Amino acid sequence: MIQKMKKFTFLVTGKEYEQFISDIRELGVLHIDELQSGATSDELQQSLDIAERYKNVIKALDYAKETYETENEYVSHSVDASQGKALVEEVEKLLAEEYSLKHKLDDTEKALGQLEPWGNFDREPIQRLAQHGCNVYFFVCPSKAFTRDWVDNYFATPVSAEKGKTYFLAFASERPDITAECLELPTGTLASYIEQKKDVESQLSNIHEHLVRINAESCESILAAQVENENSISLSKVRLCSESIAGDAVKLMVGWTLEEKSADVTGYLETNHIFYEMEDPKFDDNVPIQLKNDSYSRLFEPILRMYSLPNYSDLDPTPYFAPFFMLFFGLCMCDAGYGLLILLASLFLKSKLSEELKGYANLGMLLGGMTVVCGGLTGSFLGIDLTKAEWAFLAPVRPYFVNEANFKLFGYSPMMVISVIIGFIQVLLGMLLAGAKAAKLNGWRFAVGKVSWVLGLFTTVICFGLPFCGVVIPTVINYILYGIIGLSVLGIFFYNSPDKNIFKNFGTGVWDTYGMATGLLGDLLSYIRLFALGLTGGVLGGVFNELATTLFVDMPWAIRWLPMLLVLLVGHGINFALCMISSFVHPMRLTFVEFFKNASFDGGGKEYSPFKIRQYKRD
Amino acid sequence: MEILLGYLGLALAVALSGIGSSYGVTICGNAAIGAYKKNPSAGGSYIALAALPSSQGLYGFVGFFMLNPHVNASIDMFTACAVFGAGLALGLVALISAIRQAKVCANGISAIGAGHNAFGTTMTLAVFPELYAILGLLVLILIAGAL
Repeated sequence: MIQKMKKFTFLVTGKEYEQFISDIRELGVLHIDELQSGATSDELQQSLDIAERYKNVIKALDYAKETYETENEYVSHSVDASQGKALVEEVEKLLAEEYSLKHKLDDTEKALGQLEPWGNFDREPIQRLAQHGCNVYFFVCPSKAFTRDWVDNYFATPVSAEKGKTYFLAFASERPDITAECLELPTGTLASYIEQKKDVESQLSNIHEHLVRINAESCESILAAQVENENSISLSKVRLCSESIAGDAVKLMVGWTLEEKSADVTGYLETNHIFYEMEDPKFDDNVPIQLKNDSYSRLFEPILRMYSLPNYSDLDPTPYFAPFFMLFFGLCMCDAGYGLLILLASLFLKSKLSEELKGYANLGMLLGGMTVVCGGLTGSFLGIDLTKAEWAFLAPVRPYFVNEANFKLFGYSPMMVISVIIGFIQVLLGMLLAGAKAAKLNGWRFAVGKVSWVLGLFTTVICFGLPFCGVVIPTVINYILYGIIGLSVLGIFFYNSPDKNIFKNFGTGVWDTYGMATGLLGDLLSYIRLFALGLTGGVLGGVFNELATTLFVDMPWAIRWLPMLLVLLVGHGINFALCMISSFVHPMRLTFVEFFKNASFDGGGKEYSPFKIRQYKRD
Repeated sequence: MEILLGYLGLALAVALSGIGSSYGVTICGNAAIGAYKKNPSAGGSYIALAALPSSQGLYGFVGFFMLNPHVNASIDMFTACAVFGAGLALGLVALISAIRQAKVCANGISAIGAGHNAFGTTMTLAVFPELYAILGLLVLILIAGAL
């Protein structure tokens, strides 16, 4: 349910403005509207830059904690947000040093790579030879390409050979013209570079230890300082949300609060003699949204948020799609064994997760439970088709599994037909919600068109569907149903837009009929995926069971069980993961497309986010 | 010949729709990896959109399920041609619609990666190419029902 809001418009003098902002921040119930979108200030920009620095520093400290080992134990210091800026500068300095040292280490390792084939040699004899006109050149070539001519002409002396290459020296007054690569070696010795590498690694290790220590001792102070900075950002943004009138003499501001909290706001405003106007939201206002649902529907709000929050004129669809989403998930997984796994895993996680995340465990339990029910009804357990399993204890229930092996509906698999019927029910519910929305916005007359469609479709299905299934409808009831269909047709064609004339109504009715004929058929067929996904998961699971039992049938039992178990674990693991993804995504798609379209759900709402001081909470 | 035609129809329904979905989810998966590098927080949206082109493969599987009972040792030429035609119709439409749907989804994933709130709109727009695969499935169901 979308909670009712009240709109406040304030006029505050320039002198009282800062105190007013401070007071409403203390109140913490007003969502302030942006009157100038995209506005910015130096103060805000500075705070945003600092926020980015905090984010990078915290990320670097988390990385240090995960990556670098330490033997020392550090004690966390008390939280002190005022130290935040100094700590950030310290960490940034360490990170800059680390970056520079890493580059130096790369260069050192590159030099070591170049010098290692030549070993540790003294450059002094080479310099003395050069003074006497004999230069020493360092060459490398493929070992097969090394020729005796080079030995004869240039005193080519092989130093080492590795990985199919020969490293050799050549002595000449000028660079020899030979088909070998002449190397420019680094100026230092191998020993000096080894020493340098040790030194750089030691410095890096010290920096990593320092980062780990800062993380352990002062991370919470940095987080607290980050929260304070976020408070500064929200304060700067609110300062930009006002409109100046008569220079800066008067400031105009618009805010929203929950209807139940409006008394707190009016109490404060009356006490402080602030001029204000309180009113209900108008149709074209961009009202912030606060949802309030029962504990069951609240579990499904994250799914709604993936699409969009409703706008203020919408009905909150969460309580209406929640049971269907649960059912669709169960139908898509459709295996009692997998459902049991989800249920048990969720029960286990519930005891481990924080209060904020416990909702996800509850959602998992609901979805797992529904999967157990759907799998049990269709006779599927860990890929085993229970209608075909020859287990005596199943004999009493085997004929009742909703399975093609037991019975068909209209010549088709019962689950296929049931999927379409469930889809039809959801589409009708969506249309009813669209009618309720029209009634809420414009009055009950505007709901007549939508409700007529629901009534007409439902009655038509009863009137023609039941006899098709062999049910005999008494003549009187038939005439009543025909009457309802007739009234529905009148509503569809002549009262779909009460504010327009009869010809426009008829034209709109014809257009709606075309849309319904094409759209409804496509929507209903889309629900067949519920049957297809449930079937696919069961068939794949069965294939892995078949593989596990037939592949190793020639092995003795004492050995056979291990590869069988491996095949089952890997196979069912893959199948479970694929089914989980499909069972989330396709019900989401049916909800977002088929249900929301028929429910005329517009979305586009923004979250109610009151201006208040955030406090840092220790984990 | 009749049995060959019949099984060819089944193969076309499953294979072409499966190929289309494979191409489709790969196109979206590649877009999702790229978008994830820019905006890792929207991983759930990427997976949801990347899975949409898998619908056509499911329709092919349903099509197989509907037509398989009609393909047996005593199948006649009429039935075999019907199965072949239905399988070909669904397979071709599902192949093209999955690939085109994937391109819509990939663009949506890219937009979300760039920070735009495009999840709902992308999901709605991605349904339009899928409608034709659904019509192909409907044609198959109608043909299977008439056999």
